[in-house]
Amino acid sequence: MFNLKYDFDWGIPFREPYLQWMIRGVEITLLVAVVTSVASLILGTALAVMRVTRIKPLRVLSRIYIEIFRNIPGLFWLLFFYFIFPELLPSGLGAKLNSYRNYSIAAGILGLTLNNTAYVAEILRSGLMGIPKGQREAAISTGMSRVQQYTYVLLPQSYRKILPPMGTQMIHNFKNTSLCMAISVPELTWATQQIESLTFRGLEVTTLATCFYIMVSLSLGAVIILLEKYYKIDISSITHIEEN
Amino acid sequence: MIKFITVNKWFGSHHVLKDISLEISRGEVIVICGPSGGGKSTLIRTINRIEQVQVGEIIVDGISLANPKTDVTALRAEIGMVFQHFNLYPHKTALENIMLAPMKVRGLSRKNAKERALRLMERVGLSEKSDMYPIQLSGGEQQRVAIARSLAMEPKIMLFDEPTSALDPELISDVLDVMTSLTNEGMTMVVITHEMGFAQRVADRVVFMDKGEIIEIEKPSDIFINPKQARTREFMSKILHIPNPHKT
Repeated sequence: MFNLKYDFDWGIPFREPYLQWMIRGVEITLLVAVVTSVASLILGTALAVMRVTRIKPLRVLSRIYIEIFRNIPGLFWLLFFYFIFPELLPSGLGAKLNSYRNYSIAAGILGLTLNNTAYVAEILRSGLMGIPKGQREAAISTGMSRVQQYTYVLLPQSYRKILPPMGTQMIHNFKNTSLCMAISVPELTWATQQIESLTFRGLEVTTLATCFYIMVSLSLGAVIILLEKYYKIDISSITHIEEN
Repeated sequence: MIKFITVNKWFGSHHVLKDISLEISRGEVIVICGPSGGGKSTLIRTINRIEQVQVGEIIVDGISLANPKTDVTALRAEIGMVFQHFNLYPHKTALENIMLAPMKVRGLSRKNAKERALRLMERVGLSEKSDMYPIQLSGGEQQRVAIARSLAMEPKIMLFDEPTSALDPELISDVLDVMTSLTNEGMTMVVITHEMGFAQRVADRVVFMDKGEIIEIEKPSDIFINPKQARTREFMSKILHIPNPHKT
């Protein structure tokens, strides 16, 4: 079927130091993915609530944030935080950041998180808007404060409703970690490119990396489906929207 | 207990409440009826300030809702509300629905809240359904859980906004039975309903509202059999299915 004219040498990925780089790459990729996902979920929740509150300055602030981070490529944010951000700081502080060995990882996490947060916030906002206003009224009428209404009634229902798009976004965010290679974060894609440039045998390691990305993405998708099944009883029972 | 002093409210240019003055005393059961769009729901929702009024004053349990210093959230905890569409929390079981506010608002321990919730589930006749989710319950059962949820806060006032309108006919009586038992305990209640049999049995006064105004306030026996106002008469004849002799 394929005629690649390429002799695979499957020894390469398992030779030192390449194996070490690949393992380290997997570790960094997972680290960046987990930290950015969790952080953007927390920040995104805050922004989504700000976006639907009746306090106008908070709404405006959230809107501005979302537009800025949604409309500029994620890669640009990585480059920004790696190259430009330290320059904007007072010179002593900037130099200190640059000299920090893992600054690229921090810049990568920061850029990806802020980028992903904008999407998470919008997805969650759609969930919040989809909750019948009677839910809010029921909570209000039992004397719950605003914070309690969101914590116990509105947000838990929103999270359940938005599981499918949120799962997709999280998978997207996981794969986006490969962008970090542009700022030399030693994650998996960066490792494959390093090995390629040293050995001209990139196809083997890239194939392995591809399998890794597929495996993790599929697992994430499976977790989402399990969660959907688990919560099905709840999300199918949304009460009607009050008409008066 | 609840006092409306020339209350007026507009939705945009639509005048929904016109010079409402009404005093409801402790332990009184008031039934509000009237054509839809007449302001009944809006009126009842101003009592716990889910809707705010622009003109006039509402005093609940001696506290003015118009006073900016009033802690409305605390006051709401004393006022139970039951909705036409139940509005149970779909992500929580019946028991958890009832336990939530007592734990979070009143600070009850989980154990105490659970005891209280189980007692209330028994009271509304649903002991065996405690662990079910709202979707697994019939409309009538959901509404009884909703009543139990309000009662769990041990409110001084209960508001019912068409509690049986969304129910199948055969499920209505169980809900009305629970409500009737409340009136026997001396609960102050404001009920929007067209269940005239219920009104006849338990209401102290019936308020007839139309186009944002209170047209007539009477004892149930008088308002059904011998309404003074033409609009009330017309409405009553329609919902009681009596031919209107005044119509040509």
